[in-house]
Amino acid sequence: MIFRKDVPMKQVDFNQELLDAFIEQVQKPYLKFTSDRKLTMYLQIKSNQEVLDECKDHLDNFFQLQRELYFQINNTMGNVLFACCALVADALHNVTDHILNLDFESLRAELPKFWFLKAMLLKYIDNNLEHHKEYDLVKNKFYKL
Amino acid sequence: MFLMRKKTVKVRRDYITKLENRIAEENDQRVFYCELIQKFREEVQKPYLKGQVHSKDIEGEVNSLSDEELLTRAVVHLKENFEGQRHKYFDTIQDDYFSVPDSIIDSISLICFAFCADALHNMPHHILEKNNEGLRFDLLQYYQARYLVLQYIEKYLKEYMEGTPDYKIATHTLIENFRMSEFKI
Repeated sequence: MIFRKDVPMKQVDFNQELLDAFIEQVQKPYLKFTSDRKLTMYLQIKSNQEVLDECKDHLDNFFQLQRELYFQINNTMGNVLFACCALVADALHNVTDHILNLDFESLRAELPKFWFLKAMLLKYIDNNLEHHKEYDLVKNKFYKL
Repeated sequence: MFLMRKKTVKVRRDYITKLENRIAEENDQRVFYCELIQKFREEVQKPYLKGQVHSKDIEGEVNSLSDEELLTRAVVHLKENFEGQRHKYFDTIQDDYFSVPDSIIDSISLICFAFCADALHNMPHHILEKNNEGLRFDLLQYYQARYLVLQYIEKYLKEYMEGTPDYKIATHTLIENFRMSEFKI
């Protein structure tokens, strides 16, 4: 223990397997996703107001999710959850601009990506986190997203 | 035969000490991580929730903003919160050449961003409703939160970085993400 300062400190990863699984199962498909015909058609039928409300709900829910995570999670899952939140942020980061500009076409383009990501995240949580004690908590939160 | 046994015993003992060291290291990190969270709660969350941030600059600045400015600032900060997270994430995870994904820093990042989300979470609503007083209040809160978070990162995470080049980059990007704002205050 005394000599430990001399050796370069090794990185200890709390959840390396989970992160690897995350990259394989969520991140890669998400980055490859281009469009989904069914969802696009579904969004064409919706009115502008409905699309706007939908997006606003997602923004609200995401912030709500982060707040709740902050107040409740107090353990070593932080880095995995950070990865999840970062991808959601990636999907939502243009939405605020579009809302301000009332650019409904762009909003329609962003939504399928977000839905796809949400589905992948839920699948990932189901497959990988089932045996962790945070499973129910995390699952409920992302389900509401 | 006796020699053989001695050798295997030695190998096993080495293996066990190696394991023990690893466990100790991991425990150290966990303890350190819990301490970081504890400090965050005490030094960022507490003053923020109790409204004990007294910075005349922030209040003066926010009160002097026009309605138009309030709106642009709110949108910019919402966007920055999202972009900060994705930059932080894609920097640490994708770019293996410059930085190793660091579980402690990543967890703390989540806490920092989530904490700011508390101040931001009503903004989309206010923007759509054109509720300027609400925006003003939220912006004030947000600047206070950001001020505290930045202070915290510089105070505690910098210490942790010393002597470890990889970590240095990891926090550096975190700090930059918080500091690199279109509107400083």
